[in-house]
Amino acid sequence: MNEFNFYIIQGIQHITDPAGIDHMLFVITLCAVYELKEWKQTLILVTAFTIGHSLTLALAVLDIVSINQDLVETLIPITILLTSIHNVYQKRALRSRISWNYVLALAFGLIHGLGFSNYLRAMMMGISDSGIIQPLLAFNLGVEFGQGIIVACFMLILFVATKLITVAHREWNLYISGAGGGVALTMIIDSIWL
Amino acid sequence: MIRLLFAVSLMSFTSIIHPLKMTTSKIVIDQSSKEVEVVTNFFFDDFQMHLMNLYQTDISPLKKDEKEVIQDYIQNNFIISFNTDGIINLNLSSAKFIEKNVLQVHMKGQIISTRQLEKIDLTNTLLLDAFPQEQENIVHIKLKGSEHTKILHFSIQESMQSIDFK
Repeated sequence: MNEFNFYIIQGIQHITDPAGIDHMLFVITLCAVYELKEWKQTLILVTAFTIGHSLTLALAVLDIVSINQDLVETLIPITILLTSIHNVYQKRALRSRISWNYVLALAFGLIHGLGFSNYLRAMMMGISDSGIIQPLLAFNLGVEFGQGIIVACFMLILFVATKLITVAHREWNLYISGAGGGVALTMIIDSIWL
Repeated sequence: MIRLLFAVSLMSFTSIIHPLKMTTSKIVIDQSSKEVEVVTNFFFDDFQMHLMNLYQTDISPLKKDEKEVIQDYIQNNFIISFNTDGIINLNLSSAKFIEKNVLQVHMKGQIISTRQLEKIDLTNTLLLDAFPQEQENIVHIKLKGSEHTKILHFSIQESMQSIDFK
C-alpha cells in the first residue's frame, strides 16, 4: 500500500469508526431535518460541512492555527447539541431557513476540522516522507468518501422508516435529533468532568 | 415530546468521543551503513500513565532516568529481527514533544546480519496491554534510497508480523 492510499483509508476509518461516533453523529444530526425529496439540499449541506472542516484541517496541519484540543473536544459535542436543538425547533427545512442550515454546517465544520487535525498530525509528523500536502489531501478525500457512505446509509434508513414503515418525518426528526442531542450532552459532561 | 425524551435518554448511555489510542512509527533501514532508525509518536498522556503503572516513574521531566525507562519499554515492546539473525538492539537517541500531547521518540540500532536483507520480523506491543481493545499501532517501513514504503497495522490480535524482501 502506498502512503496516499494509506491516508485515504485512515480518513474513511476515522469518520466511519463506530468506536468514535462524534463526527458521524454530527453528520447524521445535520441531515435529520431533511426529507428524502430534499436530497439535493442534503448534499449541499454536507458540502458546506466539508468546506468548513477542510479549511481548518489544512490550517491546523500546516501549523497556521493552533487551538487547545481539550477545548475542541468540548466544542464538537456542543455543535451536535446545538444542531439537534435547532432541528427540534425547526419544523422542517423550510426554504427560507435552508441558508441558515448551510451557515451552521459551514461554521461547525470549522470546529470538526480542528478535531481531525489532532489525529492527522499525530499520525504523520516525522513519519510521512511525502510532505504535508499529499497526506492532507488523501486524508480529506477519505473523510469525504466516508461522509458519503454515512449519508447514503442514512438516506436508505430514512427511506425504510418514512416510506416503508411510514413513520412521520416530524417524528423521525425528533428521534434522530433527540438521540444526537442526548449523546452530545453526555459527551459534553464527560469532557468537562473527566 | 415524550418520544423526544425517550430518544434522548436511550442514546445518552452510549456516549463516545473519538478515541485516539494509536502510535505511529517509521523504520528506516540503511543497508549500506547497517543502521536502523526508528521514530515513534506517542500520545503522551497514555504513554505516561502506562509507564507510571509499569515502572512507578513519571516520565514527564524527560531527564536521563526517564529516558532510560522509555528506552527499556521500547526495547521490550518494539522488537525488530533482521533475517532471523538476531534482534536489533535499539538505543534511544532523543525524546521530544512535537505537540502538547505528542511525544516523538527516536531510536537507533545496528544490523548484526551480514547477509543482504531478506526478511524482517517485527513485534509491536506498544501500549497494547494498556488498551487491549482500542490500541492500534501503525508502522511505516522504508529502505533508505527506495521510494517504496510498506505500512503495517498492529493490534492485540496481530502484534507480530513479517515482511519478505526477497
